[in-house]
Amino acid sequence: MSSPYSVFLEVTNACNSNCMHCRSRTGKPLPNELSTDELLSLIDKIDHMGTSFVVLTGGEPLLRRDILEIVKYSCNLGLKTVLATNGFYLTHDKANLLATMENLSVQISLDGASAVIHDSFRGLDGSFERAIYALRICAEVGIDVSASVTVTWYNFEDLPKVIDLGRELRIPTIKLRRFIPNGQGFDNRSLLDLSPEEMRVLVKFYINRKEALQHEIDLQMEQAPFTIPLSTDKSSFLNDGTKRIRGGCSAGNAICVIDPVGNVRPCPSLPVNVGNVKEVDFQTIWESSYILNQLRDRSNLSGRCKVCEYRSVCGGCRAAAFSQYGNYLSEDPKCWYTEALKEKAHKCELISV
Amino acid sequence: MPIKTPGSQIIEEQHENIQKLKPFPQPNKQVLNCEQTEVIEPDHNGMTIEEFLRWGCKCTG
Repeated sequence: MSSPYSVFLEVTNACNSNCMHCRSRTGKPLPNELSTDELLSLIDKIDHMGTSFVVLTGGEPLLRRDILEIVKYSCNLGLKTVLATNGFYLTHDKANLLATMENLSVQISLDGASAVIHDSFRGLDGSFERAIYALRICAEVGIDVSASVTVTWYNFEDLPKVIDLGRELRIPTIKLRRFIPNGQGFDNRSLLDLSPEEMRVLVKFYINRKEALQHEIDLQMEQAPFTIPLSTDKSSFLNDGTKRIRGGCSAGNAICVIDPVGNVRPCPSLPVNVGNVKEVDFQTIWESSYILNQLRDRSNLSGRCKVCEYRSVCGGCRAAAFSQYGNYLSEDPKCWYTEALKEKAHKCELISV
Repeated sequence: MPIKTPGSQIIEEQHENIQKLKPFPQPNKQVLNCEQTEVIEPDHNGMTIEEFLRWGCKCTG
């Protein structure tokens, strides 16, 4: 039996924020969102398949009245459970309750080191103050908590201050996340998107800071493969002549998403439905979806990603490709490394025509 | 648009040069042709969980 390592459950479409970068167009709950029983049954199924991680996200998951029940259920099954929230509704009482649950970590969005940037980015006054409060109380009560920063042109310069703030709050982990222009983020992409050169600067900044802060804070970049060409031991990451995927884009091969009404997608940022768990068994979708299987074979990729020497450990971002070209098998438009491969990719495509 | 770097002090108005927004991308129908019946053997060519944790994208959105 095969299974994704991590399943993202978007438990509701409801959200109190109006984020510029939102991959969805969240706001109000959808009329036919999965019920408590349906979600618990789905978590059972996911556990039975052998999945290790469940990420409870949204919308804003804390807007579901039954969210603590869902978190507890997932944790009690032994699934490593992540509650991804903006922290706005995380009270001291809820934090104390969450602190009793094993296998749980809480991830709180932090998109700037000040209310000026964070609140305007999130479209919600007071959200910075509440996020800081949530981070602080989680750390205080002993929850494994991380801050998640979506890096955009809007907050790029603020990154050092965000990291300093994390250190001040004694947050064990800060995750830097690449902005993918989908949903509302697509509408705002001209304000938010980084250029390939800025991506390179970001990766270099990340590598330097990670090393400098290694004894103080775990700085992570969720799309780690982009760091490989700048790492000292990159030779071991070259393509090994097999089709096997060794890292990089996890869409459809290590992760997938189930949205509030049961639609399955390959990754949170890729708005392509491959089935619905209300109609077809989740495992059947996971194993037999044509689209998921396309994503599991990187020889299907085109452009620079097809000819890149790091294809097996990277594969580019399929969601970024879809956002730019409407084709999730196209090259990653923001890759800073493969600029030199453009000509090679072009020749390759001419030969294959 | 100037290149930004973390910690730099570029002061240009961030909202200038707003490009005309294009509509949300539509899926390429050729790629999304779900009527195709070929099912690839689901061996997934997949990464190990250690590789996933070390080098896999865990983008949480």
